[in-house]
Amino acid sequence: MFSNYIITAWNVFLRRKFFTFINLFGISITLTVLMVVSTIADGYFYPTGPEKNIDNIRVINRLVLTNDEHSHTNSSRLGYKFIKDNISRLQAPELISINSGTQMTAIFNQGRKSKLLVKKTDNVFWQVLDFSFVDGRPFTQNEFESGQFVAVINQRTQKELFGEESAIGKNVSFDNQNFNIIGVVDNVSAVEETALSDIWVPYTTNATSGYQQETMGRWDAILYHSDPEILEQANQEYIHMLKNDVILETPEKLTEAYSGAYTKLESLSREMFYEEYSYDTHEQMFISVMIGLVLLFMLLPSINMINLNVSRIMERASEIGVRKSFGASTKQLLMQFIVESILLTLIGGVIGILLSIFIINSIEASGIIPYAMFSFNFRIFVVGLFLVLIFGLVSGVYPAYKMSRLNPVTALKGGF
Amino acid sequence: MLKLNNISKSFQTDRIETIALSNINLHIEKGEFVSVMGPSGCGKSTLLNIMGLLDQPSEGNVAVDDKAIESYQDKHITGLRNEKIGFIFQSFHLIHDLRVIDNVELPLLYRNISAKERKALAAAALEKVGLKARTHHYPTQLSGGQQQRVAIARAIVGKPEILLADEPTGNLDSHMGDEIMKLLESLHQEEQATIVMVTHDEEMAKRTGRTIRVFDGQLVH
Ligand SMILES: Nc1ncnc2c1ncn2[C@@H]1O[C@H](COP(=O)(O)OP(=O)(O)O)[C@@H](O)[C@H]1O
Ligand SMILES: [Mg+2]
Repeated sequence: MFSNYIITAWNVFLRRKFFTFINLFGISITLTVLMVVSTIADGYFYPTGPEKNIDNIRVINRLVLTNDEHSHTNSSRLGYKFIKDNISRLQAPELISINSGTQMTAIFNQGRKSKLLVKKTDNVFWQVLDFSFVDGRPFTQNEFESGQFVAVINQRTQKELFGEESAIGKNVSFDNQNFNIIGVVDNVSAVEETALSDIWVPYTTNATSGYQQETMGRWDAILYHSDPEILEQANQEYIHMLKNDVILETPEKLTEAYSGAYTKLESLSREMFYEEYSYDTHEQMFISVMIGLVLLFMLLPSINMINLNVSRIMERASEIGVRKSFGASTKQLLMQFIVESILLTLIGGVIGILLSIFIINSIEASGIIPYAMFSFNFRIFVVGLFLVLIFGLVSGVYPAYKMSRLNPVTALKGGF
Repeated sequence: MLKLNNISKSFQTDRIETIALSNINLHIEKGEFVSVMGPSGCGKSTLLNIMGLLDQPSEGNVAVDDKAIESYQDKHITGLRNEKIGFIFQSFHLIHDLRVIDNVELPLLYRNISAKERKALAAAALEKVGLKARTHHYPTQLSGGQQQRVAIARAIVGKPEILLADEPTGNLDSHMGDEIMKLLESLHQEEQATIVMVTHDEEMAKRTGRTIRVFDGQLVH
């Protein structure tokens, strides 16, 4: 009997090509968008590169300073002085790394110009993040403190500057400084914003020390603890410090500081629901809005599909009448329609998943998100398939249930 | 073999109650070929639907092989519909998504029969109605007469005890109608099929063994 349901379903699909196409189109496009979005989100929130220990780090990269009347407000990344005066005093983190934002830098090599990202960091940077070195090593505390001109580069830079040759021991020059390459790391996906760069050098090699006097600037701090729970305490400690004994020396006499040691989700949420004078990230609201958007996105095609399936099943009222006249039970008819729905949804699901893999591979290959490598996550696959099945059942089974309960005479007359 | 005892049927629509049948007593014997005649709207289809266990009478009961139907719930009724009755409709009611052979085997799907056996029985039924060559066509590729013959093959494939035909020639021209009539006659004579047929055609009614006349929901004698 079951194989017959499948054969019948298959025949129906082939005979009703337009209906089948519209249904498959709806299912697979919906699923594809969901899969692509969630895969990218997954890559963002669960990085696989140097930030793979995401639970052990918090990044502080936003600071809002204002005066008592809020008549003068500055908002930007952190200044080095602010980090040294305040964040360095935090007790909770095991490690604190200070590093600058990346800067696009022109590099001349054998008459060719390359534009590469340069990031200035301390040696702790290599401890708080989990870089994988393909060659050489990171710079040491000693090299950092004594301001040695050493550099770590990524594989792309190695390829661009030296081809297939080893880069270790060679030099890379920019901004009139000459750095000795001591390490080569894997390329970092652009979704890992904190780790991202092409070249990393000690910030103690800076030509001037003006940055040491800046309260606002282009610096980040990374807090590290081997226990993720304690990082939340670190955030509380930080906010407490900002509220009670923040050290600020600004010409504008700014007195209030707003910032936080946020998780990736909290940072994103804060960007979306930006409130200047608040420590709140509105994370719950962000999650609710995201879930709402996804449901809305699922709902619209679902309603369409229900519509389509209802009219389609109405068309088949006489078929239901005939089958009942010849002895089909309500249960058997319902099963037949459920099998049709599930089969159609599964086919749509497979198409959707193939399409998502194709799109994700294309995104990786295109370089829209530099060095992005998204792993096609089995968890998302299962969730996606599950969603699609729910989708198929909701859209196919309810109308089938209504129709299969009709009395055969009514069904034969067209169901009215 | 099929008995209607004091059958009445009324339909409730909005506030109007239509009495389609009242107090019908009828007995169809094994091997009979009965025609049902009467003006449009007099209750012939309702009568046939009740005989075919497709509809539930408001009063009275139907007995198949001397056993009264106790309930019209699926578990009591589907087996009887499947094994005892073969229905032929005026507008054929073939399933357009299925090939001729798949339409014919439909009643067998609801029995415990292997796919191979189903196909063999369906092919035999198609041969009986002279449509062996159309096995793999779709219904819409056939003429009206051919479609009705497919419907007859479907009605006989499960070897039911009684064939119920509601104006089987009503949608066909007289030539095709005559072919269908001949087919029913041969099933009656050669296979001893029991047939109840609604018709508007006196000539056809004359060719059957007995004619029941219905007027305004009642039998006329
Ligand atoms: N489902 C229904 N709802 C309401 N009235 C119906 C229904 N089916 C049949 N009737 C009424 O019952 C009467 C008999 O109908 P029917 O048996 O179809 O007549 P015939 O087949 O003799 O033309 C008609 O008056 C018809 O309008
Ligand atoms: Mg009628």
